[in-house]
Amino acid sequence: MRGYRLSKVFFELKTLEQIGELVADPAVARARYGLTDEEIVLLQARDRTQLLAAGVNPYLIRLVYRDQTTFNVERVAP
Amino acid sequence: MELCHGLIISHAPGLTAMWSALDAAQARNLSGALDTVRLELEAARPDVIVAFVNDHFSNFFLGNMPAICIGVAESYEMRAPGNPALLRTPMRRIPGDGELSLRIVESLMRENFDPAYAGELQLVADVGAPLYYLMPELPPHLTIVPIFINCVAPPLPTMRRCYDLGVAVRKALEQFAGDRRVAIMGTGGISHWVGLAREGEINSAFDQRVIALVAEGRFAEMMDWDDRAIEDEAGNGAYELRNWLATFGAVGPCRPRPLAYVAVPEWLTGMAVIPLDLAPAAVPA
Repeated sequence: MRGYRLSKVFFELKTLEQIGELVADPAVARARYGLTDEEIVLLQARDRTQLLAAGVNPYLIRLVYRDQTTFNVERVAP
Repeated sequence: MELCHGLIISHAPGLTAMWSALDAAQARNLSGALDTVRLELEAARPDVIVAFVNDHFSNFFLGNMPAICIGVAESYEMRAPGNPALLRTPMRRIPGDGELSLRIVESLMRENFDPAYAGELQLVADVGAPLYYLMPELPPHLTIVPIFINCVAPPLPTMRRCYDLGVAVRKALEQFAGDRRVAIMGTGGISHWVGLAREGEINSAFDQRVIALVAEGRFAEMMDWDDRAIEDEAGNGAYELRNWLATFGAVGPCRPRPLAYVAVPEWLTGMAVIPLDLAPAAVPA
């Protein structure tokens, strides 16, 4: 299934910080999740558009990037 | 079974955490609708809530993704997900009705549905957020039967299949719910893009069209909608209209009464509150 391994990383680690720690050591990332070199590079780059294109489920993108959204959730209404 | 209430309500974590995103008119509109439904639910005195909802990767992953999953637990946590600031609601535990749930599963099997069932489930924004306002105090006798429909990880059950599921659940309730008073609610929708490039957009015209269809009793037209077209026009979050169709199937004849609609980009969604007034025959004397 396309994007399965990447989605699994998102589902289990849930934060960019944790994912960053995982792919800081590609050998660990390969051993734990069977990630390919291309997938490790994608995770290191943290580009959500590319991750989406690689098949990560969008709800998992939202889960992980929740605190990095481009709009300000604390914005006070006019 | 005595059907005592029907309801469709959108869900979003922001519902309990980000009211600062609403302007004064929106806040009045939504708050008033929630108060109205709260009072109506109090008066309806349900013993069981049957909730058509969907998971957002709190319970299920792609490693084992059920199209339909019925909670058979004795109780469920209504918890804040990973980020406790997201929902800002207290942790609550709501009793299940495992016996009734299993009877529904059995009945669905006889009707040629093959639902999964789960003895442990977390109810998050899908149930916890709406009930935070609709039932601030959970009545001691109240139980819940959560019915999860996959709306987030395609391939999804078809819209029509979800309506048929609701009809089959109603049949099971009539057979097995005894003299219990049953409220049926469906949560989710309307337009929203989750995790996609258009996240934060809301298609209010689409939302108003859906609300008008529902109000005119023409919800059946949605059963033939194609998922690709739904996503183009209203985002992947609009797949959650499946929960609405299941609710219509289970409630049966009713007069939908749209009470509120607010489009809240910060909540990522167009929010609707639509009680389903029961047809006279179903209203207890």
